[in-house]
Formats: sequence, C-alpha cells, structure tokens
Amino acid sequence: MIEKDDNELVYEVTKGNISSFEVLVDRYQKTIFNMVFKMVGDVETAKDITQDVFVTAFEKMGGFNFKYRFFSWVYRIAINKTLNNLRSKEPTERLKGVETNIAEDLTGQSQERNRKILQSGLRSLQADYRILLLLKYYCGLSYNEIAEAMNITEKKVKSRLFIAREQMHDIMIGKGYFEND
Amino acid sequence: MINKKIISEIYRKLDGELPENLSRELEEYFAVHPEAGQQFKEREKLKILIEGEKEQIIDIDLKKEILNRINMEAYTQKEKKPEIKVVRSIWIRPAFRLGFVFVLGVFVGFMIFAFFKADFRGAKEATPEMKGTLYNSSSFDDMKTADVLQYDSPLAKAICNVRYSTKIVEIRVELSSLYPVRSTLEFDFNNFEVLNVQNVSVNDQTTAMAASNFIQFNNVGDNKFIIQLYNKNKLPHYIEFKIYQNDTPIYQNSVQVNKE
Repeated sequence: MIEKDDNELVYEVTKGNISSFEVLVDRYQKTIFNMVFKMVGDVETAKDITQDVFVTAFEKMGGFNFKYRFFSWVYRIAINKTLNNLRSKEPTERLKGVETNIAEDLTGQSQERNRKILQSGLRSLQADYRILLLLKYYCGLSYNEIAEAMNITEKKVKSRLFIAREQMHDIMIGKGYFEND
Repeated sequence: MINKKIISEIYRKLDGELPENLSRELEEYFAVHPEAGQQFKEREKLKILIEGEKEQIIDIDLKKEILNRINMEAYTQKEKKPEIKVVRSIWIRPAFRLGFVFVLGVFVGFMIFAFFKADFRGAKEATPEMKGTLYNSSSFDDMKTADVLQYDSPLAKAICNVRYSTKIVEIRVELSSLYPVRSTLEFDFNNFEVLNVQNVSVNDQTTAMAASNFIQFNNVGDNKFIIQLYNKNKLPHYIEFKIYQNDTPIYQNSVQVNKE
C-alpha cells in the first residue's frame, strides 16, 4: 500500500476525514513527544504539550498553507508550546533540580553517566538554543527545514546553531565531559 | 586560542558540508596544530552523544487522548453559537428598543387619530338636516319612481323620468324633434328649488334655462338632460311637463312626487 504524502492527508482532514488525521498523529506523535520531553524533562508535561500540539494543529488545519510542509508546521506549533511552557516555569527551580540529578548520577556507569551529563547540559542551555540542537541532531532536520519550523532565515539558523553548539561545548567542558580525552 | 573560522569549518565538516579538498586541508591543519584536532574530536564526540539520544526514544501512543479532546472541543464550539443569542443581543440594545417603542407609538397614535376622526365626521353627517341630501351616481337607482311620461308623435318624442327621495327630486328628460320645439317643467317655487340643470347630451342648437318656478328647453334634434330639484317639504306636489310647438301646446302631463 502506498503511503500518502503529509499534505495530501492534511487536505483530506480539511474535507472532514478524521482517519487521515489519525495517520498524521501516528506519524509524528513519537518524534514530537520525545523532542518535547527532552526540552521539558518531564513525561506528563510532555504528554500534555504533545496533545495540545495536535489539538491545535487540528483546529488550525483549515487555514493550513500548502506551500509549507506539514512536519515543519507541526514542529513550529510544538516549539512555540514548549517554549511557552518553559517560560512559564521558574528557571532557578528547574536548574536546581538538574544539578541534584547530576550529583547522584556521577557515580553511575560511563554511558549512562554521559547521557545524564548531556541532558543536564541541554537543560542548562537557553531554551531557544536547546531546541535548535534537538531539531538538528535529534530530529535530523536540515538547515532549511529548521528555518521553516522556526520561521527564521536559514542564515540565522546557521549563526544561532553555531552559538548553541559552542555554548553546549562550553557547558560540557564545565561538567567535565571531555576530561579523559 | 582556536580561530573562530576554524571552529566554523569544523562544524561544516561534521555536518558533511565541507567539500572533499577543504576537508583534506583541514585534516592537514589538524596534523600541524594538534590543539585544533583536539577541538574537532571534542565536537565530534559531542555530536555523537547528542545523536545517540535518537535511540533513547520513549514509546508512547497519545492518539486516543488527542482524538477525545478534539471531539469534545468540536462539541463545545457547536454549543457556543446559538442563534437566539443574536436576537437577544439586538433586543437589549437601547437604540433598538427606543426605535421599536417610537414606531409602536406612531402606529397607535395614527390608529387613535383615524378612529376619532372617522367618528366625528360620522356624527356631523348624521344630523337630520343633512339626511338625504348626499347625491352620487347610484342615487337615482335608489330613489322612488314618481312616473315616467312618454310622448311620441311625428313632431316630437319625449321621455320624462321622475324619481324622488326625501330631499331630492331628479328628472331625466330625453327630447327628440326634427324642428324646434319648446318644453317646460313647471312647479311651485314654495315646494321646490332648482339645484342643478345638467346637459348630458346636448347639441349647440339646443338651450336649457332655469327660473324659480320652471325649467325651459328649446330643443332641436336629440338631447338629454338631468334636472335636480331640492324638495322643501314632505307634502305631495305636482310637476307639470309640457311640450309646445310654435307656442301651441302639443303635450301636457303632470307627475306627483312625495306620494303617500
């Protein structure tokens, strides 16, 4: 069976076909949930945001501009909702929790330890930069796709990504990640 | 201190965007500058670590919850737009209410005015002095017939149809003569008053003349007249109808009105 293109499914949803929307949910819910989870660090919050993302996408699908790709559009909704969620929280509280986790985890196995350091490093990073790194390395989007999802130019994506990567590198140095190299 | 440009090139190499020749040049640079090579290794390690996160996927299925929420919100939206709300919102607007009251007031005022005006006029018309004086095209049919006088000879033909009501006597006269004839309607001026002598169909050789106690027609050809007299009292009276030729009476008859 030939899989339908995203935009074809979006068109069918706008004509009242709910099952096409289910296909879109199946296709993107895991990626979006995991990206949101890596941003917020809490499963329940990530679940709520993911549900919100798809409900909003469904409501706004009537005004979908077919010159864009669905995944970049739905990513944009997810990014906005995640950033709004993070901005509404107390940053100091969030960072304090992260530091506690690291102290506990440093005694663990090497691979697991590296993962914890990475997660803590990512959460220490400014949210706008964190999301860029996740879109680039975790979601595997190209510069062009990131530009579409974040509604900025490709040039701006490259310059911001450079800063994000450098800040992450500095954070990881600070956490002693490269000490044995 | 590593040049920012070299760092930028390192990232391009890691993203696979650096052309082959430049990539080789960068590796040669790393060989000469081991601290730059170290920077490359660190960033490559970090990239592999972040990309390794792809494998740490939490498997989740939120489809049911998402669809439940969508159905509920669609239901809520439908309930949000009852049409009655629009009607109510118009009615509570002061301008609409004032306008409605104004229009209603004008309508009620007009109805009251029309009702009383009609009633006053009716009261005036109902006075005994005016009764029976109104006249219209159907009045003649409604009047009592006094008599219809007819005269037919080679000299002249005549029909004199006399009807009366309480206050009005109407006489319809048709005269026909090849040569000039004179005809008169004679009455007592104490009983009647001439209201109107109307030429219905009269040629230019014929004339009609009214005095206080008679009406005279000088007739040639075929002519028609309507005469209305005001009946001054309810007693029986006679109206004389005469036809003359060369001052010689050729026909004479009388009609009684206000018959008992």
